[in-house]
Amino acid sequence: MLQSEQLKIIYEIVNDIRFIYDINRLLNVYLEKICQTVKCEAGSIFLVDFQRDELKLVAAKGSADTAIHSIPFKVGIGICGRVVQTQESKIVHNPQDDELFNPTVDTLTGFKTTNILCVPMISTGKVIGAIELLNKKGKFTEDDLELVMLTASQISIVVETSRLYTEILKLKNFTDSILENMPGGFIAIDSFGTITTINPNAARILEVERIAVTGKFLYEAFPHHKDIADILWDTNQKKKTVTRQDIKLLNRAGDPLVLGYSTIIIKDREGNILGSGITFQDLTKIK
Amino acid sequence: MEKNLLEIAQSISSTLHLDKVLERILDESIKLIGCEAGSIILTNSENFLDFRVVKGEKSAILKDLNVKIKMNDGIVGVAVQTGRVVVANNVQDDQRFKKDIDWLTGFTTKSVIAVPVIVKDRVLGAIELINKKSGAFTDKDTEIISSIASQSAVAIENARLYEEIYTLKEYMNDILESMPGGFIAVDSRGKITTVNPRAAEILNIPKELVGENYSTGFIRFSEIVELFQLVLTKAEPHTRREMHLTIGNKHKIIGYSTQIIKNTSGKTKGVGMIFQDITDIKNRY
Repeated sequence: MLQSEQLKIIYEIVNDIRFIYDINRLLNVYLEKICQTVKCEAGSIFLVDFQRDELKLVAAKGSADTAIHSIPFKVGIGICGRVVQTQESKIVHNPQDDELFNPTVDTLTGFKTTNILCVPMISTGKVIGAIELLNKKGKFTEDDLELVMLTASQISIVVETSRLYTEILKLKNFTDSILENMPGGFIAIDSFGTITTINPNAARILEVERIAVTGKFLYEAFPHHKDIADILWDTNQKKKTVTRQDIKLLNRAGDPLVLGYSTIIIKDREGNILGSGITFQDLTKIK
Repeated sequence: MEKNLLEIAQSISSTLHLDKVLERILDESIKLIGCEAGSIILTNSENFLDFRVVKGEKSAILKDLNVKIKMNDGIVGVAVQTGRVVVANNVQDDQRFKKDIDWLTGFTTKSVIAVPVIVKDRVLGAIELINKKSGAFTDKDTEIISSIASQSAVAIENARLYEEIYTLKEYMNDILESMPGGFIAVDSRGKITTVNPRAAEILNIPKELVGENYSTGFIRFSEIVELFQLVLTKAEPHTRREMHLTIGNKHKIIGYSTQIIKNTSGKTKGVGMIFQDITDIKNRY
């Protein structure tokens, strides 16, 4: 059974999580605390690199902490590699007698491993890394194991947060980049009819300034092209898209402008409608 | 009891679906403390508090009523506003307690603990437990629920981030599908990332090419392979050009532009090509 003091430490660790934004710093702080609580000499946190089937050392504490960074760790090899592979925690009291133990790490770092506690980090059913603690005076206990497992799942959630943030950033960049460079025009509005996105080609074709129209109500944004505003507004109201339609407009000089267009509805995961969009191309020359 | 904390922690981190995450958090909290009812309340975009999950004898009624509470209303409102735990072991004598929900549901609230759920410095909502069966809520209960709330906060944030990712992906897909032209894209390592429906139609290729290397994926169109090779190495976009392709056994004229896909720091992440079948237009002249 965990002591109330230990529970408090877990609580503190989780509380820290809320204020540390840098994931590597956070993992190091965490490792420091966990070593203090469990009273062991050294420890490391690894994250799995799925593409290379390797374990990446992301936090290290103990006498060997500079040398260890240059050593490659493989999934399935060594105590930690096996814990990641099987997703099962492990306490090893006499590593020298354990066939999984890889003594080369000790040889390279000059560290002498006397005992090991290793716990997998699991997020949404997938192993993402491991926490390994080394050299506790006396023995690692079941209580230690439970404490590290508890904190490991909390740390896993935070690692996942950081991964999700990165993915969102990447996706936003991808979307922005495609919209910016797309040869066709694209305009999106939210459910209130406010323009949220207009790409450079849409602005050029419709002869408006991007900065001036973004954030405006669409009928104010396109006073010369009420038809375009109607198409977007209709999509919002009727919640129905159209594909490959043509529309004839007049540009500001009064010359005909033919656009080929399709509309989309922007939804969230629950199917709530967030707005709509239109993609179009200037077909004047073709028609 | 600590065993339960471990299970909760693991269970919370096991899904990215917001409602499932919340349901698990609440179920486990109620079991752990031993309560008659409970709810998880989250702030919504209109600055009201929504009952996202409710458990207990009258939960169905409460769900049907679709009650929204004001940010500063009741015991849970105090917890959300102040960001602090509120314990009320005798609510009927407590001025902060609002009787209307009991009145609507026919439930009798005796004791309440409301623990705010906080991510960084934002209060997302609160976990509220009602009527502890074995007496008053204790400091130890506060400690345990606070620990669960801290973990929940990160899990809730993750589920929200995941929803944002999902929405963004759908948004991008919808744009690509509605584009009047064909669009194909490859990443900086040469992997095909996008083939929109129109592209599949014009080139008569399956959309399943996504994930393959472009040199094998577009093997039938050496012109396209060479183009991607050129644009990937030179990182120069081409605008309004033409290429001649043999698709099936027909000769086609394709009008195209290429674009460089960059990240915010300006690093090239891939290349895209947008195109139209302009054979008919060309043959008219």
